[in-house]
Amino acid sequence: MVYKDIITLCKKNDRKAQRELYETISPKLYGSCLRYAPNEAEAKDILQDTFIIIFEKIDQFKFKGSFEGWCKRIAVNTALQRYRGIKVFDLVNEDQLEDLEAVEVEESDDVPLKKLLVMVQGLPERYRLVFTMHVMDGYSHNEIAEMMKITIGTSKSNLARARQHLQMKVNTWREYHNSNAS
Amino acid sequence: MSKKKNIDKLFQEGFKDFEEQPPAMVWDAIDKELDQKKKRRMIPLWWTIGGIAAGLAILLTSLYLGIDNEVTNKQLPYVNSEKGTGTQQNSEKSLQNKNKKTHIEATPYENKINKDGQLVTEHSKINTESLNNSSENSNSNNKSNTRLTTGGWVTSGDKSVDTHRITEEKSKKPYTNSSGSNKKLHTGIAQNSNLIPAPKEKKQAVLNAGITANTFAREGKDLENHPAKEGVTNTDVVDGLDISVKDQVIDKAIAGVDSKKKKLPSLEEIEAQQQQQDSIMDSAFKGRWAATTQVGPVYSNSLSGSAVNKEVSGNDTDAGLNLSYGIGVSYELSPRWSVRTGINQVNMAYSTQDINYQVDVSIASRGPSLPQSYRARAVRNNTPTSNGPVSNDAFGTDFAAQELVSNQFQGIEGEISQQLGYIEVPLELKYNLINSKFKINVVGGMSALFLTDNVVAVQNSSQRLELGEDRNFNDFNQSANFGLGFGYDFTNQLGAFIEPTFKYQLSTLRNNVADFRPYIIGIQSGVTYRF
Repeated sequence: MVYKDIITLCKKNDRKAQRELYETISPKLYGSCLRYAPNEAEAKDILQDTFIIIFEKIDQFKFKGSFEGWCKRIAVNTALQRYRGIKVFDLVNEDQLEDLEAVEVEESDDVPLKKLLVMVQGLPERYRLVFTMHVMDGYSHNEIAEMMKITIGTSKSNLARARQHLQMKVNTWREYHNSNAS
Repeated sequence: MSKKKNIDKLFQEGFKDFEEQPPAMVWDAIDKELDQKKKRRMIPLWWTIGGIAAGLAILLTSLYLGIDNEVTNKQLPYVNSEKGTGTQQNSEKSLQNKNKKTHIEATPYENKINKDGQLVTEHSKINTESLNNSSENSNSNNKSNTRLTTGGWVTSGDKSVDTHRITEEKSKKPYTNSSGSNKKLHTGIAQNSNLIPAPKEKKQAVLNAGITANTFAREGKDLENHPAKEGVTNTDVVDGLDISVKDQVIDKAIAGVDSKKKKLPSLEEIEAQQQQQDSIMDSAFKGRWAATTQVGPVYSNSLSGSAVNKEVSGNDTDAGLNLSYGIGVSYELSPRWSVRTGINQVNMAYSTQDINYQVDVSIASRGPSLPQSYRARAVRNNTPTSNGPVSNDAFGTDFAAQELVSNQFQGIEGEISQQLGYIEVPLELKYNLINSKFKINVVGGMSALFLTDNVVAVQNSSQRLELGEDRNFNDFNQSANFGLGFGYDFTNQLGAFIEPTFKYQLSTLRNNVADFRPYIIGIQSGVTYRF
């Protein structure tokens, strides 16, 4: 394993090794944080908290499985902890919403990544978390429900809502972009 | 037909392997926070270790003092017995009994002290009660305010003025208004019955404050309506006082918290300084060797049982006071950790009191030199028989083998002393709690003990009979060691130290029938030379 030596040194609280570890994995983790946070400032905070926890708990990493995966889980949990308490203002009975997985948009890779990120970040708190977890990080609704202390139904409906929001945003952006282009 | 794509895919593909370089300031923040965490973590650790060390020191001291007392206690009958005549044995016994009695009497004495303590408390209660009464009286008498003052509330000069004021105010205004003076009155009470612990009173005040806050107002009204009401007992007054003291207590509590807050950073500062020193030392650290010479008194005793046999395991034992000396060598593993070994000569002695050693008469009769060999079974509890054991007179200087063969002779009474010499090779780990010119460290480890001297002797006030070796002692055994060291460095190379240590011995006896659990307490002091 590439990280093995660095991790061993980090376990001894070697600051240089900690720095090296940070340099290596922070871009990936920051990428995750940006998707879970509503803005850059919060993403930075999550990243900072994540690394503090990583360095504190690195003793518990026993070289079983991927270290990056372990770190990413910490990042997700840190983000969730931050927003778990915040309720979505939407008062619609979420459990009754249908799973709108079939939301489709026109295929085109024209929407720049930065715009996509802003769209995700702009989602209401829980929609954003559920969407990111499920769609981008591959968590099942079961896992999401457990981690976020919500029901599976809520998780599904949040996802559906998130998709609707995003679809609207993508469409709006495209319309605006196309009208500007033409 | 335009190609359609799931919105999930749009984001999945877009954010696949999405990475972003975080701003540099994030690491700076992490770096800073890690430093703070380390500090916070280090303080409790320091306190934990410090606590253990303090506990160890208390344990050692109490054990040490306990042994010391035992030694002095046991010496008394021993000295007295020298004055004895033909009936020495009995007189000695009675003396011992007396001594025991004194010992027993010591406990009631302690109780007495406690009782005294209780008496004191009662006394203070009486004081308070008398205060109650006096206040009740004054109130029930419905007399003027000066009456209250003379009632014994406050006798300390200047306070009487305050009381006067209070009572004046009481008659005019609701009780709450006199809070300022009440504070003083309260202090006055505390001064009068100064045996009531002040902090407790304050605590009570705090407790009462919340509960009585509402009721007080009511009481105040009552007072206003019925200024001369008989039912105004001291309790009411005290409740009132509690309220009035509330502010004062809160102020003090705030001040206390503030001072604690002020103290905390200073601790952190110390810790930070230490860390800085540590990091400097760590970076400049180069393992060094040190040689030590040490010498010190050793007290050997057992936690329970006897090294002799079961019969006498309940007998009193004496701490043997001996000397230990040796040389050592240590190597610094880090600025705080070091490992050390060495070689020490340690002498120990275990004495069992009130025994009667049954001399093998057939051997003893062969000559005056008494070529006895030690047999643990020959050691009996010293119980008087009809014949009576040999008297101390007979066991005196003119002691002759003839007396042994006489029918009167039942054995030698006195104490049996097992004297042992060991070569000790310790292997110990030392951790410096305070690592400056003045050092405090904790030591833990093991020792290998090789038996070199082994003598058993029966002795009493006038005679000593050596009985050779006690073969029950192992030639090799071990001990578990704990110590607390204090050191001072005169120069970078030369230092001195003193180190109380507790060593619990393991597998001392081949056949441990009487649950013998020996330990050694030593106070080693010496010099260290680093090179």
